[in-house]
Amino acid sequence: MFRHILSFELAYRFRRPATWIYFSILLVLVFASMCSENVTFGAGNIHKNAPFTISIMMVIFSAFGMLITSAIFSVAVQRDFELNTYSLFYTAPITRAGYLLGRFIGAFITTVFVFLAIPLGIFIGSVITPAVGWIDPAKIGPNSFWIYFQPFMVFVVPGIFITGSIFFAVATLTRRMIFSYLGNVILLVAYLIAINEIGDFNNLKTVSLVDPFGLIPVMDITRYWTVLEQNSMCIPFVGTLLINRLIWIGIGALLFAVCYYFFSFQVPAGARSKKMKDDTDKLSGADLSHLPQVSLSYSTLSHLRFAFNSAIVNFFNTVRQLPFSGIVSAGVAFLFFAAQNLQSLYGTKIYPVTYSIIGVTSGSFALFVMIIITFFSGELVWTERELKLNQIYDALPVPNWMQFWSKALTLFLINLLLMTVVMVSGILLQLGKGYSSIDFGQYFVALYLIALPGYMLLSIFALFIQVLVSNKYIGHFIMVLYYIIILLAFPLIGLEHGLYRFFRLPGFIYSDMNGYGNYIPRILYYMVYWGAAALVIAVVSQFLWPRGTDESLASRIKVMRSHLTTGYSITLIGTLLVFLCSGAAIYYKSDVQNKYVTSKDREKQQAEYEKKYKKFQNKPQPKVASVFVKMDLRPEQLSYTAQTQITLQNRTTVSIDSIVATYSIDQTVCEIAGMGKVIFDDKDLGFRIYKLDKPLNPGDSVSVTLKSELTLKGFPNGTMNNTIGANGTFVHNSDFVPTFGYNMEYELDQNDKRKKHDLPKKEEAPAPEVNKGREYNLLAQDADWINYECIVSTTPSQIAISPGYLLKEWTDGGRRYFHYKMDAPILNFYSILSGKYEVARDEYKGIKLEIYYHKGHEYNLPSMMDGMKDALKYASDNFSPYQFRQARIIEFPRYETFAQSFANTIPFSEGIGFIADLRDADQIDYPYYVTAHEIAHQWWGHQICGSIQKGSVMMVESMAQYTSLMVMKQKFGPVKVRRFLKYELDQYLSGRQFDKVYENPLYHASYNQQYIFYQKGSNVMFGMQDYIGEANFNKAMSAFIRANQFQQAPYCNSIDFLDTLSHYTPDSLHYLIADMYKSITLYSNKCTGATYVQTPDHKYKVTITIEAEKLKSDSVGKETKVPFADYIDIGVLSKETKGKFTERQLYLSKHLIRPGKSTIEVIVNEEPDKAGIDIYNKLIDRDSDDNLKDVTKAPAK
Amino acid sequence: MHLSIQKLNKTYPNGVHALKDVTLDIPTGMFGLLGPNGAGKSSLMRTIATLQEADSGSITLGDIDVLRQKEAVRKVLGYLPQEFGLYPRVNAEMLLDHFARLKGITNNSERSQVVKTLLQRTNLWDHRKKNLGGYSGGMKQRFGIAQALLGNPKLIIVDEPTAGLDPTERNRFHNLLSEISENVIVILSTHIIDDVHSLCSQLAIISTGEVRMTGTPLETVAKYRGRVWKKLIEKHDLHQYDANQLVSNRLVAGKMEITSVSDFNPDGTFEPTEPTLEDVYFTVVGNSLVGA
Repeated sequence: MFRHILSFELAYRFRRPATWIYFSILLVLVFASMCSENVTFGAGNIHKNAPFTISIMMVIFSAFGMLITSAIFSVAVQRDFELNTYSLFYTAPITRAGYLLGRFIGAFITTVFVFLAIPLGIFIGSVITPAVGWIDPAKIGPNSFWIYFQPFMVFVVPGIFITGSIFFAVATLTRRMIFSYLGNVILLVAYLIAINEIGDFNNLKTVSLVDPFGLIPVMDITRYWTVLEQNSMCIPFVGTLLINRLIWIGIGALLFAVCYYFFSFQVPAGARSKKMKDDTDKLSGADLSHLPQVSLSYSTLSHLRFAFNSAIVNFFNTVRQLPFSGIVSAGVAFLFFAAQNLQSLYGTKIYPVTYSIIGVTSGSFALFVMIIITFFSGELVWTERELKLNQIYDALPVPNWMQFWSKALTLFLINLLLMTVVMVSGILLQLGKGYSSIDFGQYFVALYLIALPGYMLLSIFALFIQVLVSNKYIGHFIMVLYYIIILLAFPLIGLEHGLYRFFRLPGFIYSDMNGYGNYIPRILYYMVYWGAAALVIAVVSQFLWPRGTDESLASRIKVMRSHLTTGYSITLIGTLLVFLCSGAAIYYKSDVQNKYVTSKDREKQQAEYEKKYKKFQNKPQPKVASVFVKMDLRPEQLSYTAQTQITLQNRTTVSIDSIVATYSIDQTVCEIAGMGKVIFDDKDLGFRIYKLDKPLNPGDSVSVTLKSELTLKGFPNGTMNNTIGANGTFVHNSDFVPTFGYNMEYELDQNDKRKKHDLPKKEEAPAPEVNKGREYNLLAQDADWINYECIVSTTPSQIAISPGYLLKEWTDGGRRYFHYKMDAPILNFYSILSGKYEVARDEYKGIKLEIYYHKGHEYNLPSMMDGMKDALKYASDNFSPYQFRQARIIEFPRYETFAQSFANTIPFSEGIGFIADLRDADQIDYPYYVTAHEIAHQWWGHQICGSIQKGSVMMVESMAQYTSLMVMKQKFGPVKVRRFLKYELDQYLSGRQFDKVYENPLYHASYNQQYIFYQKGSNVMFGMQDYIGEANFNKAMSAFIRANQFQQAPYCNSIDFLDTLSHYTPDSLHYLIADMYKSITLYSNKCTGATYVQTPDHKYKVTITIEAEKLKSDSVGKETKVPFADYIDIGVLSKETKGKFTERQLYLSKHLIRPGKSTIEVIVNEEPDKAGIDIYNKLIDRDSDDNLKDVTKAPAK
Repeated sequence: MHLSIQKLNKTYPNGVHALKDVTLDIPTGMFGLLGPNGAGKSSLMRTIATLQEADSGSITLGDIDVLRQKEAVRKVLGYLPQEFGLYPRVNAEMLLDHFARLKGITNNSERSQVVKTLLQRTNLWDHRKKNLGGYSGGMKQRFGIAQALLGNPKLIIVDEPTAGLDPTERNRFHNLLSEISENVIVILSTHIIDDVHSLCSQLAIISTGEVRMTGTPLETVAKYRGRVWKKLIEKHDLHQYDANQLVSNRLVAGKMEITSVSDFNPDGTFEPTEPTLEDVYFTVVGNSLVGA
């Protein structure tokens, strides 16, 4: 019985084209993802067919493949109801088990077959793509059967079983495809969002179990895997992964059992439903031939009114449907879920300001809106035909436009409702978080004036597609293709222009300071453009509206002409004209007034620049000696002009006859007077050669005048230029002053991209061991230290700021002038800011402190002020005196989210810190931390700036991290610093996986290895001061800074620092310098158990068992265990008495630890709660979560 | 009002020639369209009801060119398709009111008056607040009639309206139709010959897309008087008779009654009988159940 049903099912399935279509689609998708360098499932140097990559691909494709799984499993039994064959089967002498199992296993085998396309696609890709040259052969690793088979069996097959059981049970029991279909969509979207959100979570282990596809356990297990491990190891089927798979297989089996239990061979519910009893006894005696006479009217107005009425009827009909409320409530649930993690940094969230709440909605809720539009456009267009009401409907004296527009209006009402749902949820979220400055205007503009029209464009397009195609599901499929291709894939293949990304409105960034800034015109133009296009397809849809029984598109097109009245012709031509004109206007604004540059073009430009002008790299060039900027900012016109006086000095030993300049091509004007003749100018790449009138001899100077101008006209297609804003201008020197000489920063630094452009591997900066590169400093290669002065004018309501001290402020000709002059030399690194500011002032030991902030952003001013004071105090007490008499923080709009230290001037993005929500004192106060870090740069960066050699960046960033950590430790105590360091450690360990080149030890860190010089730097510097003592370490820092501050070339490097440090390090700890700075050293320490007994003198004896391991890693992550006898912290913490992070330290001391297991006993005065090894994460530990363990009371002996 | 169809042709994309030079003249009153399944009845009716394009030919309704002035036709049309559904979650009164608006009855009091009258006269008044999803086949069909009568139509088309109805329902339905047909054109398509016989003043028989004959039922039958012969035989003897001479056979109380149309008694053993419309139909349609 079972065997017969199964073999029939299989024969049926394999004869169905659908099975083969699914297989082919999957094969093509997988293969395509193997062909592109842009599609990556692993990072950096991971092979495209690495066991790790294969596992991830299997998981992701089987999650997306859920659409296929549901299609196959749902119909397994349900098709008997749909095709009404159930009465034949259910009356046949078959068993329930035979029937259900046969169908289920048939569907299962079919799906497993379809999913074999995944390993097949990867395998074919890994063989073909390098052979034909699409993929660098170095990106393909060795193939073996096991690396395909293991992940297929671990992830794909159980995944099919699990999701298959769900869909099988749902469709079989409800007997309706719709539930299965919707469940599918919701599950998939929920899964994607959850995965996305979970990136932030620290407790991967616990959430590992809830993931039916197994991606989270994989993330958990491989969190710190190195490239080498990813390339060589399959994901071990143990631990959380094993438990996860077992749990889910259990759930799948349970669902099947439930389905079996409730299933019965009975007629479906619908067919049994009671019909009303008819009153057959009441014969019609009525006279139908004499009905009341009625007057008929067919005015456009009445049709309009009717379109509106029927839209309202349709709207309520839709809203009352279960699928609708299902999708919306799922969407709202995710919106609330997503809002819980509002842009957290170090676990600290920001205030739920309106723009961030709206941002969350445009992310997670948008998907649900798109699902609703896709799904219900189909429902609306097809209702009458599905109910077979169309023949009655179509014979009614109503025009086609009324039918179409009533549906469009229905979708409009639905979208309107959705936006309102978003707004209400948003407001509830804000209020729920105790935030009451709700900006209703912003909700209105962002949701109803920008998002709603965007969704309406999509809605019209979706209706159009449904009108066009002759099958609702094909319509859905086309919409999904549209989303994937136009919205997602186009930019990946270099098609970035908004003019052909159909019905997509460009986005915007809202800033509290600058409002909608420069984005509004672009959105408006695109609204007109796509709005006109939508109107055209709407009219075409209404002509093609399926009316009557000639449903084929061809016959509808045939009669289309008969609809084309003069009125319509004029409307269509007019709309087309609007479409063309607005398109032309957009083209003018983004391609003529601006340059349309795709990311591929940009890459190409970078490659070109290097190929053409690298030869000038070693050409002797003068250095900038002084700069005097006179800039007129006109924020309201989005424009500035500047006259900059620059003195260049020949500090080489040879005579210079020509100067090369690399300049920003975004500028409207960039001319230099007094530097001789321009003999070469490449306007596309921004490279120019000046022939000096007379050669510049060694030691000689020349003064030149740079005239620059920037006026933002039109709008770019891609990233908005936000240098100037109506309120919030931030101009960097590189924006308007050329760099003299070849600029290495423009070079492509990813080797795979370089290879595509036939460039050799990226030339590394010289190592500190070689005597090369000391002639340039890290920050600006075309200068040493400069004199700086600036006169800047702006609009009267704004304050303009630049490094230096304010000499004078005046008003002239309705403009406000500021004259700044610096009395000490600074690096060739400056900026000019302007905005409507409030100013908070304070003072520390005669140093004037100022924060220029946007009104309303007062929340964290005290923290930032403290950060300034504490960092100034710590650094001047411990390193060297502060070189300025003033320190300023200046807020700028959140288009960029960083803070950057210029001499005595620190621009600070409104997006970080200013709106951090620090009401909970347990949170990490990152505004304080960032401020302290930036103040520390006044020493590390602005007193000392190393050479351009590898590792020098450590002296800028790692040192600033160190300073802020020490300041934080003083302010918040060691426990909070531990939490901070744990974040840093995690980021370092995961950063290692994503390195695109190879990992360097800290003292060789290159300028793009943030995970090393920030994150590892924090841990290493903090650990080092802990080992040799804070005072001692600071002595080394002080000695180093005093010896090298404000030095001219040759500049110091990381080895100089390590030399100084070793003077202050006892011989017994010299190994630390080698371990922490000069090599990649990792520990794998863990606490395996901790118990305590009470001693007779009312103390507590704690017995801690630990396991220790020390590894050295090479640059690609190959790790080798090394023997050691190192001093490592052993600590005991007391119970957390109040709050979440108020544990107290009972014991902390360094013990000599050797590899393997050890047992340590310590005596403490209070009842211990947790104990372990390296409890403050001072060492680089591969798994920092297992260092601490709860202490249990030892069983009485 | 007068409906005139001239040389109407329609071929479907799949090659089926559904209408071949159909020419018909349909006056006020009930007009029956008879024909087997697939004869082209529905194609013809859908074309008249503006739901389908014709390849060639013309249809005029009074002054209206049906094939071109669709809006004008729809204003005077009442159409009840062969098979139709209704919004399941809407009640009868709402939906009828909805259709009334669509038909152009914009005056609120007139509309509610006509909706009320129609619901009462189709015996749906008591169920007017009930969702249509729960309606029985007969109730649904009556609702169909009610909507077809909205807005005083001049042309009413009903396509096989009694399929699936029980005998009582069918009767009542016929009564309704005959009442309506006094002042307007009603086209009734069916393959139930008795219906046409009892209801229609005029009829046409269509087969394989062609009009085989037209006329009143009485005239039609009269033409065959004296030419129809019947005989009762044993079932197993059927093979002895020349299939070409028989127009139909059917079982009567276990025996087989065979019918032949000819000017003479086919083999002398047949009995002459009074012709029925059914005999005419089988003759014209050329249906041969014989030997089936």
